[in-house]
Amino acid sequence: MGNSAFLVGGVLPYLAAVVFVVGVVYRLLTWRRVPQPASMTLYPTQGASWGALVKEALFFPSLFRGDKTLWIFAWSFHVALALAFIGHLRVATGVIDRGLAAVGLGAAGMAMLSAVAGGFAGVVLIATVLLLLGRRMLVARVREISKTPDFLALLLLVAVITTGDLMRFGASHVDLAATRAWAASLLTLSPAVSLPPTFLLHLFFAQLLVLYIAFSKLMHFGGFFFTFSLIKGSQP
Amino acid sequence: MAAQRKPDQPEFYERSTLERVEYAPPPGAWLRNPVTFHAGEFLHPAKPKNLEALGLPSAHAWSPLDEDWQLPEGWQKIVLDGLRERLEGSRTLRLMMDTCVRCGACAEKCPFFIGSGDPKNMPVLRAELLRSIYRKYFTTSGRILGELAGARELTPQVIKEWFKYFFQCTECRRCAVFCPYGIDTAEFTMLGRDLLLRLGISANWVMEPVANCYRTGNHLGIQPQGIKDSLEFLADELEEVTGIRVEVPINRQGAEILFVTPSGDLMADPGTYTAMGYLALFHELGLDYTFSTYASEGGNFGLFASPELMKRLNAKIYAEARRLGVKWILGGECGHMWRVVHQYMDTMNGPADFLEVPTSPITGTRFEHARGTKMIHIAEFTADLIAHGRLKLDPARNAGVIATFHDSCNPARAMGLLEEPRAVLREVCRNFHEMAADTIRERTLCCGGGAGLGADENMEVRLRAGMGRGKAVAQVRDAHGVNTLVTICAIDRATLTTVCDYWAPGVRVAGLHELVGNALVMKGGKPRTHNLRQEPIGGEA
Ligand code: HEM
Ligand code: SF4
Ligand code: SF4
Repeated sequence: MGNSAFLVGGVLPYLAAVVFVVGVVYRLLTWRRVPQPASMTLYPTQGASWGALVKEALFFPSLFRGDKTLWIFAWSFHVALALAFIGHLRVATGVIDRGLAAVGLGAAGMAMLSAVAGGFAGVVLIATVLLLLGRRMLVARVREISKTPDFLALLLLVAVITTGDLMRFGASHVDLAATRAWAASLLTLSPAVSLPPTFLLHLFFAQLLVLYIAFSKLMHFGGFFFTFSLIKGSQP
Repeated sequence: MAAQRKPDQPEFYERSTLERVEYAPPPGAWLRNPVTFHAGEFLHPAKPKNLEALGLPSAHAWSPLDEDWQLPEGWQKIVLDGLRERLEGSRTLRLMMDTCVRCGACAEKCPFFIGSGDPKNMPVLRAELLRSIYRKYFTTSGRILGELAGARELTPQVIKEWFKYFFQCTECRRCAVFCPYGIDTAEFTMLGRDLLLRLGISANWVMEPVANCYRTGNHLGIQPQGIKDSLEFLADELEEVTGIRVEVPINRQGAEILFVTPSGDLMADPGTYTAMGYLALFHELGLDYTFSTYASEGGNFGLFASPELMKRLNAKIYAEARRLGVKWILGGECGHMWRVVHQYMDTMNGPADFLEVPTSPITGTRFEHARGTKMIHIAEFTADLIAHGRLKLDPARNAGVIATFHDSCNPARAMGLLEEPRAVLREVCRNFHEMAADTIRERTLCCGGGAGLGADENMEVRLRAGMGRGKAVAQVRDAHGVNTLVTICAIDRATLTTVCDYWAPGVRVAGLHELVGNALVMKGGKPRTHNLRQEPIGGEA
C-alpha cells in the first residue's frame, strides 16, 4: 500500500471526521449561545409549525416563489444529493442491503435499484452542479455576487461527482466487499487500505469537501433550521 | 424651463431616462469599485445639533461630497466594537452573517435594484458590504485568506459605501420573503446605520425627527398646544362636512383606550383626511379613548437609526398608557410603527402587564394575538366592527372613488395584515381593483421613501425605487380607471403621492379611514354632499 493511498484512506478519514464534527458542533453552538432578545416576524407570520419547517426543508417553497429556474436546479440538486448520500451508506455497510433483502429484494433487484437510483442521482448531480456553476459564470448579476468561496464549493462538488460517476459509469466497477472491509477496518482503528485508485481519488475530493463544510456557507444546512424558526415566525 | 429644475424636484428627471435601467453590472469586481455620489441620490447629513440633542457622540459637520468625512479618532475600533456588541447580542444577525449561500434569489426582488440596476442594491450585495467586514475581523477563514474568503479591510471607502447603500434601502423586507432562509437584508441596513451613527454619520431626514420626537413627543416637533389646535382644526373641518361637532379627548385620565397615531396625519394632506376619519369613527362608536400630547407619535424613526433610539422613543407609549391608566392601546394607520410594536415593543419596553388584552368595547372581541403588546392596529379594529355588522356604511358616498390597495411593507410582511384592510375597503368602496399579484400582499413593492428616505434631496433614488409600484398603479389606472391608491401607512401617504404623480398621474393617495369616514353613516348631522376633502360627492379627482 502506497504512502499517499494510506494518507487518503487511512489518515484523512479520521481527520475529516473530527474536523467535521467539532467544526459543525462549534458553529451550531456559536449560534445557540447568542441571545435573541426580540422575536422576528416575517410573512407568513403565523406559520409556527413543524409541518411548515419540514415542507420548507423538503421542497424549498420560498425559493420556488422567488426564482423558479434556480428552484429547479437547486431542488433537483439537493434531492440527488440526498439519494447519493443514502446510496453511499451501502459503500460502507451491508445494513441497507440486509434491510432490502428482508423486504424481499434479491441480489439482482438490488443491483437494479442501485443502477437506477444511483445512476439517476449520478447523472442529475453532475448536470445540476454544472448548471449551478454555469449560472454563476454566465448570469451577469449572479457572477457579480459570486466570489472564490462560491466557486470553490461547486468545483469541489464537480471533482467529487465526476470521480464518483467515473466509477459508476466507467469501465472498472468498484467492489463493494473491498470498500466495506476498508470501512470496517477504519472503525476498528486499524485501517487497511487496499482500494482502487479511482476510488481513492473520489475519496480524496469527498474528504476535502467534508473538511470544508464547517468553514463555509455549506453550513447553510444547519443555519436553515435556526433561521426558519427565528425569522419565519415559527418557534417549533 | 427644464434647465431651472433642480435634482430635488421630480420634474428634473426624464421618465425615459429613469426607465432605461442597465442591469448588467459595471466592469470590475464590486469590492474594488469606488463609491461615488451625485446630487439627487443622497440624503443630507445629520445636523450636529440633532445628534447633540440626543447625547450622541461624534457629532460633526461633513458632506458626502467631501473627500474626507472627518471620521472621529479611533473610528475603526468604534465600528468593530459596535459590530462585536451586535453580533454577541442577536442570534438572527449572526445567522444571517453565516448562512447566505449567495444564490441570488433575492437579487431582483429589491425595489432599489429594480429601479437602478446598481449591483450594490441587490440585497445580497448590500449585506455583503457588511458581511465582508465581519469575515475579515470575526472569522478564521476571513482573517487568514482575506479576499479569497470574501473578506476586506475596513477603510473610509467602506464607510462611504455603507452610507450610500444603507440609505438606499427602505428596510422593506421584500428580499427576506423570497430568500430560502428568510435572510432579512433590512437587519443589515439597521446594523449598518447603527454603526455609522456611532461615527456621527447619519441622515438628517432620520435624525431630525428622532431628535424632535425625543424632545416633544413627535417627529414634527409639535408642542402640546399645537397638537390640540390641529385636532380642533380637524374637528372643525369635519363639522363642515357632517354637521356634527365631535369631541377631541386629549390626555384624559382614566380613558379606556389610548390612541396613538403618526403625527404626520395631524398636519399634512392627505393624512389629515384619514385623521378626520378616525375622529368621525370614534365619535360614532362613543369610544372611551384619548389622544396624548406626550405619546403623540405612532411612528418611530429610531428604528431607522439604532436600537437604543428606537427603544427610547417607543418607551413613551407604555409610560403614557400607565400614567393615563388606560386599559389598552389602539394604533393608527402606520407602517414602520408596526414593525416596532409587533416585533420589539413587548420585549424592549415591556412586559406591559399593567394593561389588558385589547378587547373591543363594541363587539367584545378579544385580540389574543396582541396578548404581549396590548396594542392593535386600527384596520383590525374596524374590520372586526364590520364583521359584526356594527357600522352603518354607505359606500355610495365613495362612488367616485375607483380604488386599489397598496400593502404597506411592515403591516403586510411583519404582521400579516393582509385581509383586514381589504375587508374594510370592500365595505366602504364598491370599486376596488387589485394590482398585479407580484406587487401586492406579502410581495408588495415599497413606496421607495420609507425608513427615512422620504426627503426631497434624494429624489432620483425615490423615483427609481418607486418605479415598480408606480407602474403597477398605472396599469390598474389604465385597465380599470383607478383614481385612488388606498394605503394604511402615513409615510406612504406622503411618499406615494410623489410616486403616483410621477409614474401614474391622475391617481391620488388616500388612507383607509378617510374612505371609512366618508362612508360612515352618523347619527344626526346633515345629509352629506361633500367628502372629507370637501369635494362634491361623485366629483372626485
Ligand atoms: C434544509 C434546507 C436546505 C436548503 C433550503 C438549501 C438551499 C440551498 C440553496 C438555495 C443553494 C444555492 C444553490 C446555488 O449555489 O445557487 C444550496 C446550495 C448547496 N447546498 Fe443546500 N440547502 C439545504 C440543505 C442542504 C444540505 C443538508 C446539504 C448537504 C450537505 C446541502 C448542500 C449544498 C451544497 C453542496 C450546495 C452547493 C453550494 C454552491 O452552490 O456553492 N444543502 N442549498
Ligand atoms: S436569497 Fe438569501 S441565501 Fe440567496 S443570496 Fe439572497 S440572502 Fe443569500
Ligand atoms: S429590505 Fe427592501 S429595500 Fe432593503 S434590500 Fe431588502 S428588498 Fe431592498
